[in-house]
Amino acid sequence: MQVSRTVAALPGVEDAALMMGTPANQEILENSDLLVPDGESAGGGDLIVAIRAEDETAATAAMDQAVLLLDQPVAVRAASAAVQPRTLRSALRVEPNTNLALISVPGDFAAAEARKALRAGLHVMIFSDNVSLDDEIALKLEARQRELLVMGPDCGTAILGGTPLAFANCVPMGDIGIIGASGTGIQEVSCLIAQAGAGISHAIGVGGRDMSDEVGGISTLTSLEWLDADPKTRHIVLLSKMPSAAVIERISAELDRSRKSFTVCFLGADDLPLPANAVVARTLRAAAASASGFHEDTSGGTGLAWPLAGKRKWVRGFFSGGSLAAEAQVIFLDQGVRVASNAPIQGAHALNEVTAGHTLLDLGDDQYTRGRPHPMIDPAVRDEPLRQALGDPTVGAVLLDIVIGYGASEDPAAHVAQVLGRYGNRDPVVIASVTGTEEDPQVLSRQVSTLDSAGVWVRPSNAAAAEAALACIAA
Amino acid sequence: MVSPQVATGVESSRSTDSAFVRARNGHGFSSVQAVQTLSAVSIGTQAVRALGASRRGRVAAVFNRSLYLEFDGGWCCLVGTELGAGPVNICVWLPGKLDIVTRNAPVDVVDQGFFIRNWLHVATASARVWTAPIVEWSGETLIRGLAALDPLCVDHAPSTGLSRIVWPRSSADPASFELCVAIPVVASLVGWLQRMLEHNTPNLPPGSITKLVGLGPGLTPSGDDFLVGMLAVLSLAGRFDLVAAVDQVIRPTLEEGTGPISRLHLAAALDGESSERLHLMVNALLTGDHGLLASRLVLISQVGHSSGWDSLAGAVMVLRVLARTNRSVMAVGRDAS
Repeated sequence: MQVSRTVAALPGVEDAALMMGTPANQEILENSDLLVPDGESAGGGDLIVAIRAEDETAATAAMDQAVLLLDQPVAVRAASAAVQPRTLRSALRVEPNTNLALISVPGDFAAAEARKALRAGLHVMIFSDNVSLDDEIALKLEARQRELLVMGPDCGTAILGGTPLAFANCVPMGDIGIIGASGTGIQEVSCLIAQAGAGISHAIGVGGRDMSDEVGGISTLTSLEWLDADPKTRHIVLLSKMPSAAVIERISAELDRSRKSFTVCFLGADDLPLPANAVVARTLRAAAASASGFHEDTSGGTGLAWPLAGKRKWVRGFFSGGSLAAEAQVIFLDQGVRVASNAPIQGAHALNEVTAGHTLLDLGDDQYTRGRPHPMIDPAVRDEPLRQALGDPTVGAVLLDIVIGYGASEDPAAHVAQVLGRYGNRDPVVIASVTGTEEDPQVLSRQVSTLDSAGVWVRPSNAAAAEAALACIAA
Repeated sequence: MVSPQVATGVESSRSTDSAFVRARNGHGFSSVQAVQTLSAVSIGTQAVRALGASRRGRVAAVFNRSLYLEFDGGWCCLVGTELGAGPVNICVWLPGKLDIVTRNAPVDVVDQGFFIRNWLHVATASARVWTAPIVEWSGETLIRGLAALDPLCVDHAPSTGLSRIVWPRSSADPASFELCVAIPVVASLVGWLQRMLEHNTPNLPPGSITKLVGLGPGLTPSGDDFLVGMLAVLSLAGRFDLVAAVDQVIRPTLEEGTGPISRLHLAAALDGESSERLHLMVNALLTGDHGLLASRLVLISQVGHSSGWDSLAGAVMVLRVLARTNRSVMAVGRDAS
């Protein structure tokens, strides 16, 4: 059809069509005054090139051009491939030294593409979700055999040798390595480390299911081995929600073999059977503090907290990051406060509907993102629940996370400020943290300033924001 | 006016063995191994049948990522896995482009596989036999799926082909000849389907349905693709009686009415199966899984220039009638409600 259009647009050409010579198409060509006896003798497997032109010269030139276009599709494609490779193979021709493929295709086909990449000797980062558990296990086992690494599926964040991939922040290079089953967890920890003046050697995402019993932590263990052997990595941070007991045992044995030091943050866990070279951190902030040596301020700004009016006693948290929602739950539970969530950690209540009590929602969960972008890309996902909370007389504090960096919304703080613009009073108090750095495209200080101008109480970390919310309801 | 000309056949421009041997280097296939073996990952039921009934065949058409093979017992298609499974497909991991194979190259069927010109061995021993996946669905989930699909399609359906029948554009946008032919045919088909599904009285489809065979642009003409989509849904909905009725009217016209490759896909659809991509799309619509629709629409839109859209249009035409008459659907026993 593209050839038809190209030929029809040539000088002197009145009309042109390239169609299979079926009877139905012959009828169309006849009605278009494009069918002559040669064409009438064509069969369904023949291609009719029909051209009506002002004169023979124009017709011959058009026919030559049509034949050329039909005969040289490979050349045409090769030329465009130089600009934008459309297959793994052509990409490797353009950049033969490539050693990693980032797969972002519909989940049904991601495993096939990942397998091709592994067989081409490439490490693989699978951004796609909806990859079956069986495929994940098979891919990771194959990668292990080939001494390659599979990050993901559903791996949203990585920083390799200073290069941010997918959703990641612009952080300085340094001697701290991160291995994480959680994208926003890696972002929060790497940004807090950067703000403390330290840097990252590599941050490796392994996918949310890697530390499950079924997958057995294959990619986590491979990453541990590699970071252990990396001379530029001094300390390693391990981030995840609580893994299975068997995986903890394997990880513990691997840590025990290493001469390096580790911080292990399985959100909310503090009693883990780990060797002496590993420190346990219950929160992301604690993990960043342990790795970079900054002092962890857990006061939560108590002295600054607003006393809330009347019946305003509940906290509503709307998070774009699953790990940030989990970290806030840890803070609440640690202070003995009951909390419910659509993604509850151990000790929190499962939530089916926002009614009463403290609720912390992970808006990046499938139930909110089916058929629409993730809230880190489109902050409007948060608008409706935020408006409801702002209008609810029982809500005392609203907690938000603003995640910036590559891949994230261009100006998420401005979006929040716009929604809040209609609410002039300060009840409920809106508390937020910004996960990001000054070097990120959205610029940390600009985001903080925008929120500040909109009356949002901005805290230096997600954990601090959760503590501030608790301080408000206790005041 | 200058006469139109005819080019015969679908073929690769390469035609000699020497060119073929030279071309092997740089196409991903080894230049040192005497025989290259490709292990099939999946094989469709029609392909199993074609291989089972034949000893010898030929390469009938050559494309970069697929080869059509003609045997005495039927046709099948050797494809790279990225093109997906299907009833006539044998899916393999391709190390490079297949356009190094020459048209008419001999194909010899052996135990659990076949050889193309003695050097390319396709092993089918470990291939899983692909069959169309069946899902549980209800009238309610179908209505949800269709409602979620329309906003995705209205602005993206191509101006060529037949998809504008179900997602019309501005009336100022001129309709193509094939669209003018197809619109009244599809209108009468909708009426027939509605009567069949509401009253369950056996009747043949209107004879004008044969006007869709071989109609429109593309290697597989748009009208054929539309029919494939329509037949896929009727099969998935368990209305094999309606598939048989369509079969009775259009099968006699296929030999003369369309090309061999399109005929192959239409014949498979009449037997109840179409491409994996179409089945995945239809299943997402049947189950109302709107989270999957966008990504599956991307896959569908990558099939040919408008082939994917045309088959989706045929499928949606039937699904809309099913949604309107879902009491009849429940009678066939595939409904989960």
